[in-house]
Amino acid sequence: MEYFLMGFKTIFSGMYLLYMFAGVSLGLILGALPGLTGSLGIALMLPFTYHMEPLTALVFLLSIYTGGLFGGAITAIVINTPGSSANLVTMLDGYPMTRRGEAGRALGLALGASFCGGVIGCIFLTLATETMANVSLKFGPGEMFMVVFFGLSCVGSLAKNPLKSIFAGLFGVMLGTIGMASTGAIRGTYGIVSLMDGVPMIPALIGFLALPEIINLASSKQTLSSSNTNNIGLKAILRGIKEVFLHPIQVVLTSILGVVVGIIPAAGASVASVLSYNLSKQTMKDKEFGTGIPEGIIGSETANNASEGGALSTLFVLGIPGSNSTAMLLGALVLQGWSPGPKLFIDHKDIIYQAFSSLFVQQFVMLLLGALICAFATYIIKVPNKYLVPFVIMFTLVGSFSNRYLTFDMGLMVLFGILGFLMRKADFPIMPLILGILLGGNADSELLRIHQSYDSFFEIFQSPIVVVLVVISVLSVAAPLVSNWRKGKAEN
Amino acid sequence: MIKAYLKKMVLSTVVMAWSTIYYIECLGYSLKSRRLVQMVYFMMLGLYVINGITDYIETKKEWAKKTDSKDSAKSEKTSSSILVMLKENKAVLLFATLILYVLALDFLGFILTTFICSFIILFIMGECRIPILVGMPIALVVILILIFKMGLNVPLPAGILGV
Repeated sequence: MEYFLMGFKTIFSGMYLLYMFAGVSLGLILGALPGLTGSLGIALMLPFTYHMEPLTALVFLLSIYTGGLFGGAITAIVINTPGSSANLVTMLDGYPMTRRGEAGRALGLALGASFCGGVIGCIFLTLATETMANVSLKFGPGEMFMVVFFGLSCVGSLAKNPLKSIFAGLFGVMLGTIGMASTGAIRGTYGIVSLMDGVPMIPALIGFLALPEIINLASSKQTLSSSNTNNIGLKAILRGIKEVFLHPIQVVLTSILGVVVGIIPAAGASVASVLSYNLSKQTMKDKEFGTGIPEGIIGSETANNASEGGALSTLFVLGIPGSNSTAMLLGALVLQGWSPGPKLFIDHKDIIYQAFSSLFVQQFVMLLLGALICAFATYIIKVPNKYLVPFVIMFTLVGSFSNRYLTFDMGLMVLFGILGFLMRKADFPIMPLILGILLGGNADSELLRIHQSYDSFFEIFQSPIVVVLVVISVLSVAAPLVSNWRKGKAEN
Repeated sequence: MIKAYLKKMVLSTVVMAWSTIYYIECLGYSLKSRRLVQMVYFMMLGLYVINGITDYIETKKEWAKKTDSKDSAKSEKTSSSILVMLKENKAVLLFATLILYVLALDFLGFILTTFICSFIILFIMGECRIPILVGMPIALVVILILIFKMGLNVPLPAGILGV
């Protein structure tokens, strides 16, 4: 705590503040461009940190990370294209609000929720880093498989028709297993080398979610929003931010869930936001999620930002990176001559706590810069579709190319776009499919680890964590099915 | 009614067909390598059958309702189907443009392909004024080059122009 408080003294100097503003701006802009993520920003800036002091490097890279987590929500809300998979479920309620002419309110809600989630994540990071990170060591392959299974079990509640939703989710899992398995078997690539690493996530996200929406937009009205467009600009954003504070219980609960999921290596911000959205949906039965309600945006955005605190605690205390971004942060620390592993925290406690202090300040910087960028973004809805469509299409195409520099990824994006368009026409939910792709590969490798570590699959049920996760997962699948059946019965 | 039912089922059937091909391919590998695929495949198969049955029941109900109000539906159908056709043609044209873009990119290069593609998309979107049809694609190419090539060092395909 002493180090942490002293950290503020250090952090409030002109140079660190400058790096924070630069880092958060870069993260926000990259996160908001479809196909680009905060991770890319960290990767691009990594070589520049080589000559920096360790604390300066950490502050700068963490700022990009913080900005990137929220940046993706902007496009998710305004043009139904998540900047990264962490903002996937933000679209479900954010975009309908934009269509209703409430883009400013939705962006304000997302920004306010991200800020709250980030701050709560920081508090947990400061107070309970060591304890929480040690708990995550108890997560073996059985527990990890169940976390993935739990994530997948949410697919049933992500759409109106649970059966179709689960079917789409399973199809996603199938797609997620394409490529080289942990055993070395190469499945479903049809000889295409670019598929060896599996179905790339960025083209899948853009193709399935963004492209069908843009094509629909091309065939629809003059502008993005159907009704009044007065709900734009900075005032609307501020109103949205204020509204977040009317939901204190949801904010705290979903943030805690975000932190917990963030701690688990490889679970990440995407799983955190999906689980949190599902938790909000299950606990607020009277609300119609997916129709453009504030609770949907809050549920998703608090958790993905709060997961940052959890992920960083695992990184700093155990030296285990749980995502691409944290892996690159670890890379930056190695460049500084720090040795990864549990000794990281013991050897550099002072600098790490100072970096934690900067995380707090970064949340405020994000709030300020985010509000300005969001205010600008709300004006997009006033642009006539015929000018907006070519811009968005070209950005999405180049965005999917810039991930691996492959024209193949562009082709894959168009193919997924066609499939996504047909799925929309046939009333097939797309969100569970994306979740399946996201988690399919993890599920496959964890299942293999289970078979390598245990004599029988059922041995994993000796762990109480596994049992709890199974029970919650089963409830998660059964609840929407039972609720649908009851509704049907009541209607009859 | 059968036609409407088959239309509903076509996408899930295509998905199921691909999954079956994928599963058959995986049968060639050890059980370790296909355990999840096998589990998921059979779950999908079960859901496909259940979905098929529920869709059939739904279609039957919808059909019964439709036949009750046949005349009014008929007049609505003609007007809405023309709108749908127009909308879907736009979608087909846009998708075709994107496919051509991807195919031509490596050969023609980023600048030329992006200019032509944006020009065509703008035209499909109903823009007929020449200054906008030419000016906007140029602006778009410049913005993309500034962000991706100069800002982010993304090696965009050079193609025949060599830039």
